[in-house]
Parts: sequence; C-alpha cells; structure tokens
Amino acid sequence: MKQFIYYFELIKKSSFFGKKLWTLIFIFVFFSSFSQQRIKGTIKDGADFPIPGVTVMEKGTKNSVVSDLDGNYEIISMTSHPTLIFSYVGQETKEIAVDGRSIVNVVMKDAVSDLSEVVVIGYGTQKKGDVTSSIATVKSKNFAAGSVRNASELIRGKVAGLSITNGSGDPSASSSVSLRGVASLQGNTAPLVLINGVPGGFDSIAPEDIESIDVLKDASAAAIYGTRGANGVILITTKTVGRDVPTTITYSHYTAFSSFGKKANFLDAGQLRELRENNTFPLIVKNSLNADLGFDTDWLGEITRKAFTQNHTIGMKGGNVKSNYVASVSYMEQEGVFKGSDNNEFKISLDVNHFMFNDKLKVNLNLVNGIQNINAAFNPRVYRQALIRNPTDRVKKEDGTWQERSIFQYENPLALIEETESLNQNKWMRLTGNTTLTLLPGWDTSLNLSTLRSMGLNGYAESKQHISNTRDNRNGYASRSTYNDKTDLLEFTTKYSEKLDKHRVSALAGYSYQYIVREGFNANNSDFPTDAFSYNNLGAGRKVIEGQRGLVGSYKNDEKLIGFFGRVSYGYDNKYNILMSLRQEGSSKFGKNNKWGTFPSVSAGWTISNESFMKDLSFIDNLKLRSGFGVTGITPGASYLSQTLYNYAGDIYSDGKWVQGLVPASNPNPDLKWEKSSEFNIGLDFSFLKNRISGSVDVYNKQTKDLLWDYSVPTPPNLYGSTLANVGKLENKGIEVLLNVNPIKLSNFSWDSNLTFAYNKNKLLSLSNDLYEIDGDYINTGGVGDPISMSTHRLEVGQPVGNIWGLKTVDITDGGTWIIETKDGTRKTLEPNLYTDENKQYLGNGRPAYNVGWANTFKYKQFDLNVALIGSFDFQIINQQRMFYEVPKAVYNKLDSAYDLVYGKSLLTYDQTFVSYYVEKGDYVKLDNVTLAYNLDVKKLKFINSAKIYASGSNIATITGYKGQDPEVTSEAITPGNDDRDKFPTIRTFTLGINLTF
Amino acid sequence: MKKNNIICRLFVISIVFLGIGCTNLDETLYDKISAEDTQLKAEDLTNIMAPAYASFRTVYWGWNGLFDLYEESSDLIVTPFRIGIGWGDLYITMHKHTWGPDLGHAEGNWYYLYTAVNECNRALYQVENLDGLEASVQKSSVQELKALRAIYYYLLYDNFRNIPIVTDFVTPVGFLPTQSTSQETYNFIENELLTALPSLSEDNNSKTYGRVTKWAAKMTLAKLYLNSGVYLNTPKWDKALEQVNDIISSNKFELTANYSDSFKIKNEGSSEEILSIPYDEKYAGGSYYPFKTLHPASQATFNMAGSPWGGSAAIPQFIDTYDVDDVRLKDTWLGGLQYDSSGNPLMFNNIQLNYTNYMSEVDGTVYNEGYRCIKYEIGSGTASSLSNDVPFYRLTDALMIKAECLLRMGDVAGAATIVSQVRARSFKTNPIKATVTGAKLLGGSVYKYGEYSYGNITKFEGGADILYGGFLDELAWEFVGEHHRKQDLIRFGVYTTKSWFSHKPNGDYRKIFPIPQSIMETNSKLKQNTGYGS
Repeated sequence: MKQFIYYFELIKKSSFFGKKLWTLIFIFVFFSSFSQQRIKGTIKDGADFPIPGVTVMEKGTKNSVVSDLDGNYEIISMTSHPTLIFSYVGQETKEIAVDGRSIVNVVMKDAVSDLSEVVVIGYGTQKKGDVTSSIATVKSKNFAAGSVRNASELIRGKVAGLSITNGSGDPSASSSVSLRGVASLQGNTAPLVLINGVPGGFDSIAPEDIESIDVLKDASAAAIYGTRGANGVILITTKTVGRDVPTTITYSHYTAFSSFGKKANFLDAGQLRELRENNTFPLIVKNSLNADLGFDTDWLGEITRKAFTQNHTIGMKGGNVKSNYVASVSYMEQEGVFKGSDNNEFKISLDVNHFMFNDKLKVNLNLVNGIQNINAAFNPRVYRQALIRNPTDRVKKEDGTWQERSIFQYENPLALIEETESLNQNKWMRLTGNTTLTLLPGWDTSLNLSTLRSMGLNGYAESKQHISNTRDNRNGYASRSTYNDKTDLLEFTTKYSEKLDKHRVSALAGYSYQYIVREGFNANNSDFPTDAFSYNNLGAGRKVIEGQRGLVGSYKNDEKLIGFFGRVSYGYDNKYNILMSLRQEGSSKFGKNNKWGTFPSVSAGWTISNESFMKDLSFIDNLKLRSGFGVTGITPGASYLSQTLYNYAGDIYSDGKWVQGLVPASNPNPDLKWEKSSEFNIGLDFSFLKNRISGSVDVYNKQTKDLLWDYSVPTPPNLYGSTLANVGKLENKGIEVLLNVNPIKLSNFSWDSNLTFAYNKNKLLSLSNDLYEIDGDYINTGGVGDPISMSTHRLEVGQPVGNIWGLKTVDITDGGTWIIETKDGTRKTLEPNLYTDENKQYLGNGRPAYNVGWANTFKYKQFDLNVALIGSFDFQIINQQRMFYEVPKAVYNKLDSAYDLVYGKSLLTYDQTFVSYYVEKGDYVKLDNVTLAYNLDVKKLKFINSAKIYASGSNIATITGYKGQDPEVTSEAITPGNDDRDKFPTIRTFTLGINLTF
Repeated sequence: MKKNNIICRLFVISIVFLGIGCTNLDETLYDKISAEDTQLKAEDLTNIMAPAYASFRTVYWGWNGLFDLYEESSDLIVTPFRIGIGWGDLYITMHKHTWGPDLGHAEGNWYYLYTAVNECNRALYQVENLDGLEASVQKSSVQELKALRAIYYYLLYDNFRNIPIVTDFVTPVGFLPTQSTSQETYNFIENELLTALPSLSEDNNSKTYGRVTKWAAKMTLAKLYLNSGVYLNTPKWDKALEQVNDIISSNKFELTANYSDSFKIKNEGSSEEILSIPYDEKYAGGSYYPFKTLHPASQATFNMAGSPWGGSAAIPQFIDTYDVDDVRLKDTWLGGLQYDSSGNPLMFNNIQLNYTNYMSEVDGTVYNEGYRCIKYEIGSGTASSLSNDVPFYRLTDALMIKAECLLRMGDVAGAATIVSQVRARSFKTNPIKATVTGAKLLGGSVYKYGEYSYGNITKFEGGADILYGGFLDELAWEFVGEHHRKQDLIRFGVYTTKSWFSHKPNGDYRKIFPIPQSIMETNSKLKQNTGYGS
C-alpha cells in the first residue's frame, strides 16, 4: 500500500494525466471492493489419489474450472460468500462453503453407483441408469497403455463379445474387429465405426485424442443405424473440454522396440549339410533346391531387423465460458520388423466450441487431418522366399550382383526388398461442422455437416538389378497410382426431453444423407533408360511406346445412403424405462424392386433395485433387468451389383484390326437388398457392495436372413456361373459377461479387475430360397494354394460357419504314407484318388467359441501397474506353415521339424497335402499388455503440473499348445482359422514412455 | 409460445423439404455402362458379335481348356508331377484316365463352351433386334453366329455327348435345360450348319480371317461325318469326303511351303488356314503353352520376358516313332542340350540343361525329363501370352480327312498319294522318305504301346494290331498339339484299349467326359454320363 500511495503522490503532482488517472484508480478500487478471492486446493479420492478433470463450479454462477492432472485447482470467486461445487463422473458431487479460506482441499467419495454416468447411444446420450440395451462403455482412463497401433487396441479384451485380432505384425495393417460372431457370409462383418457421429476408421484417429468408446452391441441399440448396424456400432467420442479451462499443454512420448514373438525354425546351413551327409535320410531328394552351395546364410535374419518406433504427441486445450478448444498434434515413426516395411503417421486434430445467444446456439467445428507414409517394398512374397531359400546359398555373387537361381518362383528375398522402391502416401481430412440450437430448455435441434476426404498417391519402382530385369528383361519397372475418396454426410436431428415429476420423456427425429464417391487412376511403364528416375518419371519408359495392354487404368463409382429415423424413450420413477426407435433407410446399391427397408427396435428396462421392496437389501446398489429386440441390416459390398452392366472386352480381329467387344459383366438382380438381422437380447446389470462388484450379463439370439451369396446358377441358360442373390439364413446365439471387481481398496494400494467373457455359437439355417437351391445343402470353400490346391472349409446347413473339412489322419504306415480314417471308422492308406468328400469329415472349427479378457490395475502410492490378458478357447487352426514346410518331400527349404517322426513312428514320405495332422487346437492365453507407470512428484517444479513415466510390453507371452507362431489368427467370415504360411509374423513390443502436463 | 410454434413449423417444413429433395437413390454410372441405357445401333454390329468370337480364345487356351482335353489325355503329351517344381498333380488323372466328375478339365471346358454358346445366343438376340441394320447383313450375321454356335456345340458334343441345347438368350426365371439325345444333337448341329452354308462368305481374305466362312462350316460338317461311326455307330465317310472335296476344290487354300509356317508369330494370312482363332500379345492374350512346357532356365534361350513354369512334355514312346529326317520332329520338339540366345551353354546349377527323351513315372519326374513342345514360335520378349493364332482348321486337315475317307472306302493308293503330298514339305532333305505306300497306311502303328517306367517298356503291347495304324501315326506327326489326338485315338479304337507311359486302359466309357459335378449340383435335371456315378 505504501508503494501505491507513492504512485498516488506522483500522479497528483502531474498536471496533465491527473484526471484520467484518478478515474482509473477509482475503477480499480471499485472492483477491488468486491471480495474477489483466489481459492486453491487439491482434490483427491478416497485412496488418496489426485483426481484430474474435476469440475469446480462456483454456486449460482457460470464460473467454473477443472482440476489438473495432479488434482490441483485454482478459482477466483465472483461472489462474496462463495460455495464451490465439485463434480466428477463416478464420484459423489460435493458442495463446500469456502468461509473465507484460501485453500480448500477436497476428498471426494466414490459414488455408490455410476448410474449418472453418460452413455453415448447414437444421435445422443443417455444416463447409464436409463439405458435399456446392451451397450458397453470404455473410458479413456481404462484404455490399454503403451504403444498401440490403432484405436481398436485400446479396448482389446475390455468389451465382452467384441473380438479384436491382430493377425499380423505389419505396421500398416489394421486389426480385424468383429462383434458377436459372424452375421454375414459375404458382406461386411466389421462393426460400423463412428467418430463423433461421422463414419471413420480406427486408423484415422490418434488414440491419444479419444475420450471414450461406446459399443452398441445388440440390435435394439444399433437399429437406429439401419443397414449399417447388423455387426454392431462402435461410437468413438473424442476429448472435449469443460466450459472454462486454463490453457494446458500436454506432451507425451514413447519409444518402442519390436521383434518377432516367435520365429519359424527352418533348416539352417549346418542342419541341411548334416541331413545331406546322413544317408539314413533317403527322403531328401538331392536336387538343385537343397544342394550344398557352400555358403551359410540366415535368410530370415537378412531381411529382418530390430524395429524401432517413436511417437510424440502434443496436446493443448483452453478457453472460457463462451469459447474453448482442444487441439493435438501427433507424430509417429514406426519400423516394421521386416526391412522395407515402415509406417510414418502425422495426425492433427482440432475441436472448437463456441456458445452464443445465452447458450441458445452452440457451434462446434472439428478438424482431423492425417498424413501417412508407408514403405511397402516388403511384401509377403519376400517372406516366403526367405523361408524357402537354400541356407547354403549366398546373398551376392563375387562380382557384387545378387545371387539368383533359375528356379520357378524362387527369388532372392533381400534383392526383392533392396531393388524395390515404394512409397504409399495417404492423406485424410475430416471436417465437421455442427450447429445446435436450444430454443427451449430440453429441445435441441442440430444440423451436422461433415466431409471426409481421403487421398493417396503410391509410387513403386523396380530397378534394373531387380529380378524383373535380370531374369524377365523388363529393364526397369515403375508405377504410380492415386485415389481420391469422398464421404459427405448431412444429418439433421431434433430432440426434446422433459422431466415431469416421476416421468422422463425424450424424443428424437432425424434425417441422414450420406454420399460416397471413389475415384482413382493408375499407370505403369517399363523399359527405362536409367534407374535414377525411380517412379518419378514414368514417361521415360519405352514400354508405353512399344505398346502393352494395361499400362493405364482409372475408375469411379459412388453410392448413396438415405435414412429417416426417430426414437422415443420414456422412464418412470427411475424404475421403468422403455425405448423405441425406427429407421427407414434406402441405399443406391439395392435393386430397383427393394430400394427401402424398415428397421425398428424396442427395448425396456426394469431397475429392480429402485423398488421399495429392495430397500432392505442394502448391499445391492443397482440391479437392472433389460430386454430388447431390433432389426438391422448389412448392405452389399459394392455398387451397381443389381444391374446388368456392359464392359468393353473380348477383342475381335476384324479385317486386320482389333475391335473391342461389348459384353455384359454380370447377371442382373433387380431384387437385390440388404441382409436382415433380427436380434433379441436379455441383460442384467448389477452392482453390489458399494460398487466393489459390478457388471452385466447379456444373452442374445440373432437371426440373419436374406444372406447375400454368390449363388451358383446353371450354365446354360445363365451367362455367368454365379449370381449375387439374397439367400440363406444364419443364427448367432451367445452369452456375454462383464465383471468389474475391486478386491483391494486401501489408502495407498488398490486393485481393480475387469473381466470379460463371451461365448458365441452360430449355425447356418439355410442356403436356399425359392429360386436358388444347392445340391446337398453344403458348399466347400476356403483353400490352400498350389501344389496342394484343396478346399479347407465347408458351409453346411445345420452346421456352424467356419467348420474345417478335410481328411482325418490317424496313423502313418511304416513307409511313411498317411493312414486316414473315414467317418464310419474305416482306415485307408492315403492316395490322391481318396481326396473326395466321401473320405472327408469335419475337423473342427476355426472360430473361437469362448473369448476372455482380464485387465487388472494395481495402484501403489505413485505406481500404477496394468496387466491385461486375453484368451480364446475351443477352436482349431490350420497350420499352413507346417502343411507346406513340415514335409520332407517339400522341395524348397523346410521346417527342421520336417524330420521328426510322424506319430512317433516314421518319417513322412507323402507329398504336401491337407490332412488333419496340420489342424491344431488353437486355445491360448496371452499376456497381452503389461504397463508399469510412475507418477513423478513434481510439486517443487513450478512449470510442470504432472509427469508420468511408464514402461510397457505387449504380446509378452502366450500359453498355448499351438505349434505355429501365434494362435491369434485373423478370422475370415466363413474360412476362419487359416494360418497362412506367408503371414507377417506377429511382433513383441517393449515401450518406454513419458507424459507431461504443463 | 407463438414464436416457438412458428419455429416448430419451420422445422417440420424443412424436414419434409429435405425428405422430398433427397430421397433419390438412383445409381450413377461412371466407368461402366448399363445394359438398359445402352441403345445399340447398326454400327455396333462388330462389337456385338465380338464376344461370341472372343470366347473361342478362352475355349482353346483357357486354363484347363480344349488343348488339355485333346492332348493331355492322349498318348502324345503328358504333364507329369515335377519333383522340384511342385506342380503338375492336376494332370495325372488325365493321363491315367482316372478322373471323376470333379475333373477340372471337364468343368473348365463345359463352362467355357457354354459361355461361348450363351454369348452367341446373346449376340443373336441383339442382332435380331438391332435397329437400322440392313436385312441382308442381318441375315448373314445371324447365320454366321449360328454356324459359330454349331462349332461350339460340336465341341461340347464330341467331349460330353449328352448335352442340353439352349438356343434362346432370354429364358424364364428358374429355367433348367434338359439333355438332348446324341442323335438329336447330331441332327441339330448338322442342320444348323447346312442351313447356314448359303449365307456364309465363300471368300478367304483379311475380311473373313478369324470368322466362320462356308469352308469353316464345311470342315465342321466333315468332322461330324468323319466321327459319325463313333457318335451314332453309322460311319458316313462319303459325306465327309463330299465336304472336304468342296473345300479342296474351291482352291481358296494351299499348303504352306514349310510345316512351321502355320505356327509362326505372324501366321495370320497363312494360305493354309481355314478357320483361325486370332491371338495377340497386346489385344487378345491367353495363349500360354510355352510357359507350361519350358523349364524356367529356357527363358534365356528365347529371351522371354516372363518365367516359364513348365512341366508339360512329350511322351518318350511317341518321340521314338519319328523318322530322324522328318523336320516335324525339330519343328515341334525341343530336346537335348540347351543353349542361351547367344549360343552359350545354358547352365542350370552348374550343369548344362538337357531335355532328355526319358521319363520316370507320371507321379514324379525330374525337371529335365521329356522333350518340350515348341510348335508355336516363341518370340523374344514374350511376357505372358503369345501372338500366334491357332489354326483351328487348316487345309492339311481337310486333305488328311480326304485321305482317311479314301483309305477306309478302299482307295488305298489315292490315300497314299495325298499323305505323300502332305509329307513332302517335311522331308526336303530326304525326299524319298516323303512317299508312303498304301500298305504302310493300312498296316499297324510303329508306336510301341505298353506300360513304361524309368525308360523301359515294362509291358509291351505294340501297335501292329491297330487297323489303319500307319495312317494314325501320320495324324500324330502332323497334328500333335492341335486338338486332334483324343478324337483320332477314339476313332481308331486306341484311346481306351492301349497303354502308354503310366497310362493303362480304364474303361470304355472314358471316351466321353463326365458332366461336371458343379454343373450337376446346379441343375437337377441333368443326368450323369454312364460310368461316372449316379
């Protein structure tokens, strides 16, 4: 104050500024006279852990802040006797009168139940307590940590019934995702993924930006998405901010090292020499492919490396009551274990909100931009070549050129990588604009406009040292291709909700218009004057002058999806809830006789625990019985399938010239429509002992009819041997259990455990309709490549989809020939003319019947330990690597186990073939992820709010009897369990990371 | 509240507006054209007929196509399982005559041929409804398409015998065709061709090249009559003779100077070809045989731009029948030590590649066993398919039919004169050997029939007992690799009676192939051919 008076005196002396300054000082004093007060504090939970993200609001005002990662908050009060309201999901809301204190520390109590938690249900949200369908929610705090390849891995094993498999170690490969078994034979079997309501993919968004992932599992929830809902719907919600947030910057980084989980053991040079010298192995046909060439090369070692990955993410958020934003920038550089396979990604996201006209109008703009560069010089053929190549051969000749051999389909694998240059550049941008008008409390009308643009430019070049020139005389080959896809979405919704006494009503009506157009162009050329141009100067090649078919190509196609939808939900006294929805949807892909479909749903819930007769059972926090029925669909995969299209093809030589023919490209089907799934679901949600035990159980029965199938039709009279038609019926039944247990909850130690269990059983009910019928009610499908060339699966009415069909081997003759057993128990010595259906039988099923996930979180003081296990049971895998390479007669290099005695009796002398000896039990338990994190004490550091370091390992160990590399095999819809011999082996990754908040 | 009501209405109106404005689900085509929207015009005639002809290429060289049916099941060519190459198992049943209804070759040929028939039916339907087409052009086009369709039916008939005849493009929903009897199909093919004859072109020039002319139709009739004894148990040698006499006396065709001329890369316009299936590396691919027969190392001999994967080779017993002075041996087969295109020894893993006229057994042969068929010239830079046209019918064929008819009708000297005339260009270094005697044609075959393994005939049968065996040998030397052999062996009674290499007779019913299993499964009205199960 002394200083102030000094200034005052100074100013008083000044004649010129006098009056103005007096005014300023007056204003300053006027504001100071309000008891504006700075209040600080730390918010912790019952276990003494700081809680970030708690909303601290001054009662009776719009003044609010959010606690930082250390649970600290700071608010400047606007009233004279402020009361602060602390609220956070899963915690009881607390009101505290400040009473003149400047530090208010808060300990929040766990809410008895999380029923007030908000669940995203599609075109809106619902309180968890009011939900009547089967919906699983995973919040960001429960996501898997460490180096995740894409967003799907965040919730692996955490949603019962959702199967996420990483069948490959390819850094740019996507996970295969399916929900509740298989609902389609030929159509899409992946769930619809919506990011903030806009269709997208798991790959398109940085995992760091995601706030929560909600999975609409049953049809009563998914029916609002009509023809896209039959495989379930996954709703990804990105991070948003509270209304008033101080500017916060976060930085996270991780470095990861990957290597093969398990390597295939092929003969090395020493083993091969030993076998050749050892005459007791007459089976090794001494030919050029296993000759001792005098060198020693580890071919797999030559094409692999220890792969390094790094990721940097910077996030920023801030704003005030009127406007706020969240932004993030993420960069990842990822090497594949194979040389020549790299993936670099750069992603930006920005979300801006602005509130206007007394909060009556809310404008949201969201931008996601991604850039991806993939090096695809490596391909599965290279891997195969490395496995089968003679280990006594060398990589290069004395003169420095690649060592090649004139053997069919036999190429130097390292040369294939080194002499190839490839860069696939993908870019995508999603722009969303959303305007919500709230004219009356409870009535929101929004218009959502979004566009997703995906573009790509690929380049590929083979040098003159590539085998395409050294053997095939192409003299350099290069290609470029580009695509440009666009998805426009317009959605208009209006919804109203009202609470009157014990009644709760909400209604929604909407319109959705989606337009997708895809176009692309490609060109290639060969016979180049130099390697220097790579793929950057296609015109320099001479092939285009010399002439060859197929040097250029282009395409364009589009599709439209239009829907009208409505939903009504009603609740009474928090006990009885009902929800009904209806979508009327049409797709341009449908035949002209079936353009529009109707997809209704109804579901109801009874919260038993809120009944008065349950009052005495105080250990029950929540008990809710719910049941739902809904109809959903699957659209055909491609556009224009219902029409007869003409192609210019089939040239005719006419008077010295080649004239193009005009040919129909398909049989027409004006009746083509969606596959229709009707699903019935019963579920029970429960929570006991103050939420220490909670979870849900769901039982479902899903019937899919009008299955799309490329039906074999007789020729003659049909022009083509198959027509795509809606035939067939399929049934999926299952049970899913989610259990959250909190066995230990001490002041500085806690253990949370999350267990998911899913059982699915499916059955093909029919494969025919009035027009199409198959003989014998079965179709053999799937297949192994040459020289085996046999089908592996059978689709049969009355049987589950995914059944493996083949010859059952039971023994081996002394001479090393398979002995098979037919269905009636007859034993036969195998020969090629026994490869008939009469001698074959079911050998198992490739789809796991049981899937289990078990995630544990241990907290001790500043340490967090996450341990996640996944497992799949009761399924079989066709081990193609053994089928091709565990055969002494196989002509190329083979597995060292090829010389093990079969059935402990004799060496196999038979050719490569598909028999049950290679069909193995796939059951496994996998230690999928272990993450240890330490929250550093940064209280002394002023500039930093929180710091966390962690170490993580993924795909650490697998308990299985399966002899192949990894029993986690990507499941194809109708041919699951095929473990391809060229599969990019899965990898084990160790990650070190740090998260900082400023 | 009033204000809210107005807003309420505005929303309802806007929803309705959106609803009306945006419910159009019509598909827009960009890179395709729809059948409904395509108005065909008179100038589209060639485009319309093109697919009917283009199908011929798939019929002939499609995977598991016509070539395999006539050659792989015969005593001339085999594709054994190759140790160290890892394929070839596909053809073992063809060689051993142990195939069942799931035989890929039966399925392939049925499918290709009926697709061709359907393309003819569709083209006929379109030509018949084409606006603005001159009546005479329409008539000749319709007859040309019917004659082409008759050729496809003749091939179906020759291989499957009991086949459904479908002549309409538009059929009722659920229509399942039934099989006609052998006699009905025979009559149908004969009538279609006889009816077409007057409308077909009599020219042989660039306009008729690759198209069905009067002469191509007559060749098909001649083939039908020639095999009448097999088809209907009533030989019609005189009728066959009548047809080929017309062709020969038309003087539209003459023998080429060299045997190999008809198989050159640029063989279009060859004076000998009566009906050709044109191929072109750029415009009309699909001819792949050198890839199937040559060892990968031979790529360097021909400077090919693609790696062969072969396989397929001559049965040693057949190579042994050749006269050393017959140029057809060298023109057709690649054997012995191999050299690259610059004349250096062709090394394969430090050993010079040597194609030997030796085989172990069909279930397992080493990479270099057997001579390779290089009848069609292989051009430098051949990447995946050849430009050589297939001379489906050539004048020599007509001459040999004439000779056979004369022989069988008793004019042995006349037959010998024609055969000698055909042989002349193949024995230029030793012309005396070109002349054959009637006795030789009447006598047995020099082919040493009998089971063979590892270079030895283990059970000698010989060919002395084959009636007109000498003539059968002449057919082999001239027409090997030209979709002749199965038909000729059947007509001479050898196909299901003699053994060669790993093949033993395995049932007379194998003269015709089974109706493919997949076709049986889609058409319940079809009856399986005798011997192939239900």
